[in-house]
Amino acid sequence: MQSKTQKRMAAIDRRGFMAASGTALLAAPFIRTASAKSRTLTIRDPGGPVGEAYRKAFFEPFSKRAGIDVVGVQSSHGPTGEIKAMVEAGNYAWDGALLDMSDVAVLTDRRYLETVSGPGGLGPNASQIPADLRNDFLIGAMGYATVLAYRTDTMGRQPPKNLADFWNTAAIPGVRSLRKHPNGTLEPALLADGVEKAHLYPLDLDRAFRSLDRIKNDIAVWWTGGAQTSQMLKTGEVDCLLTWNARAQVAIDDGAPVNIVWKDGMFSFAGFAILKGGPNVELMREFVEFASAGERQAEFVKHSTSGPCNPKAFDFIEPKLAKILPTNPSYFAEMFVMDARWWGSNNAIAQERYENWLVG
Amino acid sequence: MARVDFVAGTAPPLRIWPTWNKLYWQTGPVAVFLLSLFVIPVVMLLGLSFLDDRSLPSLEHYQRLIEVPLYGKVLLTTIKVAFYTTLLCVVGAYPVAYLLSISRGSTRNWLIILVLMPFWTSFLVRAFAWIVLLGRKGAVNQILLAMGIVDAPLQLIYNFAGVMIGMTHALMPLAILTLLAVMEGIDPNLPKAAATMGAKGGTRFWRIYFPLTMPGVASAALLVFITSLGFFITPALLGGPHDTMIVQLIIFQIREVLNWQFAGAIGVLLVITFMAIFLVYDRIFGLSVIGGSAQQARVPAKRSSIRGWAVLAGNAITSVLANLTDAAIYALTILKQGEKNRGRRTRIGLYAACTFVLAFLALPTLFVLPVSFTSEAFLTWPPKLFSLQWYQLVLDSPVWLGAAARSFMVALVAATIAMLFAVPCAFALARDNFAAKPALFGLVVAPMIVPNIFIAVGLFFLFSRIGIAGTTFAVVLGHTVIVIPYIVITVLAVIKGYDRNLDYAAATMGASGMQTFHRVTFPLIRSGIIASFMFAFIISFDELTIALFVTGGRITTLPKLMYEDALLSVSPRLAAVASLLLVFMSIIIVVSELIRRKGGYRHGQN
Repeated sequence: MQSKTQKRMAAIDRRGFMAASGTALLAAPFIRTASAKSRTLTIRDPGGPVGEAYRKAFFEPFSKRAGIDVVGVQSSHGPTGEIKAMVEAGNYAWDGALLDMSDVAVLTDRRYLETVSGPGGLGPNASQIPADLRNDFLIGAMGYATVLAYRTDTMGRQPPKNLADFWNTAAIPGVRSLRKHPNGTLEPALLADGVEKAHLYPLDLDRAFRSLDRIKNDIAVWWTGGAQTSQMLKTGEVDCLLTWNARAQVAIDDGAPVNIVWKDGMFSFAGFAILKGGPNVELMREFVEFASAGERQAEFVKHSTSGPCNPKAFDFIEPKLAKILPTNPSYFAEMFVMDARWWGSNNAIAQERYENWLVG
Repeated sequence: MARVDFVAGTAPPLRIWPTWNKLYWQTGPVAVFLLSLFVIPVVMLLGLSFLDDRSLPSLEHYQRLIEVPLYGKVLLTTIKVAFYTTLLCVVGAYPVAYLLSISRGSTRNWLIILVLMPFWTSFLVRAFAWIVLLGRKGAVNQILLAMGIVDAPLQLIYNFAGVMIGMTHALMPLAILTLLAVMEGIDPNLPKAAATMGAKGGTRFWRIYFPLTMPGVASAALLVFITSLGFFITPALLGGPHDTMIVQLIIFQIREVLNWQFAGAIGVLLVITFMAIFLVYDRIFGLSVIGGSAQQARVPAKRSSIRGWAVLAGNAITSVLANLTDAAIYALTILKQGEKNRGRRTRIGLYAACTFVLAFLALPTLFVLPVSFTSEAFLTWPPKLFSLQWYQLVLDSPVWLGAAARSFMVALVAATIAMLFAVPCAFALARDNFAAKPALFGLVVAPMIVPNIFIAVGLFFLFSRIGIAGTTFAVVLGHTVIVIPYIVITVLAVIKGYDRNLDYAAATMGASGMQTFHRVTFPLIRSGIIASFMFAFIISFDELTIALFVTGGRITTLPKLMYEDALLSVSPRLAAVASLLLVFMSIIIVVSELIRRKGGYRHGQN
C-alpha cells in the first residue's frame, strides 16, 4: 500500500508540474509588458454613484497636466486584501489607491504603503491641510462623518438633539438602528454615556459595552451596509439611526423627511495612498500633491456630499452645497476625528468582542 | 475520505489509478486541473494558519479559535441555518420537481422560467425586495394593517424567519433542478406495475416512487447544505443580531484586519466541520447514492452498520408513511364517497403545494418588475410610476453593457470547459472501480466545500505570479474550478438512475459504443446534462467573490458591478438590470426549448 501511494503521488506531481507549465503557456498572451504601462498611472477608486467624480476632479486634470494616462479602476470598499496580495506578489495592478484612513492604518502597520511625501517634504497644497487630517501615508482629500439622522415626520415633535437622546429610548420614542460593526458605534456609546470628546481614545471598551447594554434590546435593525440605511430612512423602516452623512443625504435628496444632527459626529477621511515598491511612486507623489489642492477637492465635492479636507476648498464651493458638507467649519467644530491608529491596532479585538456581545 | 460501497468480487485486485486509456482520459484532466488551480493555491493559503506572525510554526490561531467562544457559537449558528435551509428547500422543491417531471411542452417551459426567476435577480436585489415587502413599513404589513388583521406591524424579518425566507428563496431552484434531473429518469411504469399488484396510492408513492428519487433528494440536500454554509450577505441583511455566519468572520479577517493566518484557521475549522458532517451523511446515505455505484442492489459487502440501520429505519419509516397515507386517502374517500375523483383530489393537493412554492419563488421578481419603472431613487412599495430613466441609465452605459456581455461570455465558457472536465469524470466515478475513486470524488467536490473566499485569494496569488491576474481568462479559470463539483454531483445523480441494461441491450442489437451513447444513453440523460450545464452557467453568472479578487478592478463582471453599485445605494437601476436579465434569459429558455423540440421530432420520426 505504501509503495502504491508513493507511486500515485509521483504521478500527480508530474501531472501538477505539466499543468502548471501548460497554464503558463496558455497565459502568455495575457501578460502585459512592463514598458507598456510605465507612462500610465493606475489608481483604484471605490466606484459607485460618485465614481465619475474621481475622474473629473482628479484623474483627467492630472492626466492633462502631466501628459500621461491616468486610469481609474474600481474595487469595492476596503481593498486592503487586494493591496496586500499585490505588494506581496510584486504584481502592481494599481500604482495608488483611494483609501480610508482606517485602511491605511491597517496597511502601514504591515508596511504595504509608500510615504506620500518624498525627500522634499510636503508640497504647498498638502501643507494647507490641517495636521489631524493627514499623516505620513495619507493626505486627506475628502471625508465623511458618522452622524445621527432621524425622520422628522415621526420624531419631529421631540427630535433627538444629541447621542444621549438617541440612547434615551424611554424619553424619546422611535424605532432605532445601529451598525453591526464596532467602528462608529463604540464612540457614540461612550459619548452618550458622558465621556468627553477629547478623552475618547483609547476607547474604554468595558464602559462602551455597558452603555450599549442599555440600548441593545431597543435596536430593531443592526445594519451592515450604507445602502441599507438610506433605504430605511427613505421608507421609514426605522425612525432614527447612526449612519454616514452621505447615506442620509441621499434619502433627503430623494424627498425623505430626514434631518441630520452634526453634533458629536465622527469624522473620518480618505485620500490617495501609494503602493509600496510600485513602478510609479514619484509620479504618484506628484499626483497626491495635485489632489491636495483646494480647487481640486472643491471640484470633487460638486459631485458628492463628502467634505473636502483642504479648508481653502470652501472658497470654491457655493453656500447651498457647503451646508450639507461635514467639514463645513460650523459643524466641524462640534465633531471629532476618528483615531485610525487606535482602530488599526484594536479593530480585531473590538470586532470579536462586539460580535460576541451581539450573539451573547 | 468517505467510504465507497464497492462492487466486491468483480475486479479482484483494485488498481490505484485506472490504467486503461479511457479512464485516464476521463479522470486525468479534471484531476490535473483541480490540483493546479485549486489544491495548490488553497493548501498554500490555509497552510498559513499554522504559522505565527514571524512565520514560525505555531498553533496559536487554533488556540484562539477554541478559547474565544464566539467562533464556536457562530459555527453552530451557521450549521443551524444551513440545516433548516436544506430541510425547507428539499421539502418545498419535491412537489414542484415532480410537477415539472410530469409536465410537457409550454407548461413545462413556463414552470422552468418561474423556477429560475430568482436566479436572474441578483441576490442583493432579492434581499432588498424582501426588506421592502416584509419590513415594518413593507407591502405585507401595509396590507395586513389596512385590512385590520393586525394592530401593529408584524416582525417578519430581522430575525431567523427572515434568514430562512431569504436563503430558502435563493437555494430552492438548485434543489428543484437537482430533483428534476433524477425524477425524469424514473420509469413511470414502475408505480403502474405496483398498482397492478394492488398497491394503493400511498404505498405506490412511499414504497416505490420516493425510494427511486432518493439519489436526487440526497444530492439536492448536499448541494443546498454546502452552498448555504457559504452564505453571508443575505443573512446579514435579513437576519437579527444572532444570525452571523462564519464566512462573515473569515471575510472580516481577510479584508479588514489582514490576518490571513487566523482567517485560514477559521477556514480549516469550517472545512473540518463539513468533512465530519459529510462522513456521517455518507454513512447514512452512502456514496453509492451520491457517487452513483450503478449496481447498488447487488452489493452485499462492506456496508457500514450505520448504513444498514439507516436502510432499515428508512424502510420502516416509508412503510409507516405508506400505510398512513393509504389510510388517510381511504378515510377521505369514505367521507366524500367520491371514489372516481380520488386521483384528481391528490392532484389538487399537488397543485396547491406547487402554487404556494412557485408564488414564493416569483414574489420578489413580481415586485422588482414594477419597481424598475419607478421615478424615485429607491426601491419602494408602491412604486411611483412611470419612468424609463433606470433602463436608460443601464442601456446607455457602456460599462454595464460591457459587464453583462463579459459575464455572459465567462459563464458560457466556464460552464463549457467545466462540462468537458466533469462529465467524463462523473461517468468514471459512476461506472468504474479503482482504489483512488474516493480520493477523486473528494477532489472534485472539494471546491464546493472550501469557502469561495479562499479559492479567490489563493487564485489571486497564483494568477499574479503567472501574470494573468486581472484578465477575463483568469475569471473563467476561477469559475471553472467552482462549478465542477455542481456538474459532477448532478450528473452522478442522473447516471445513478440510469439503467445500464439499456446499453447492453443496444450492444446486443449490434450498436457500437458511439452509437449506443449517441442514440440510447445520451437522449436518456440529456435533461440531466442540460440541467448541470444550466447550474454551471447560473453559478458562474451570479458569482461575486472570485470576480472581486481576480479581476483586480481592471475589468468587471455584472455581479461585481451590481455589488459595488449596491454598496452605496440600492437604486432601481438594479431592478432594471434584473428585469432585463429576466426577459433575456426567459427568451433564451423558450428558444432553446423550441430548438430542442424540433430536434426531438426528427429523432422521433426516425
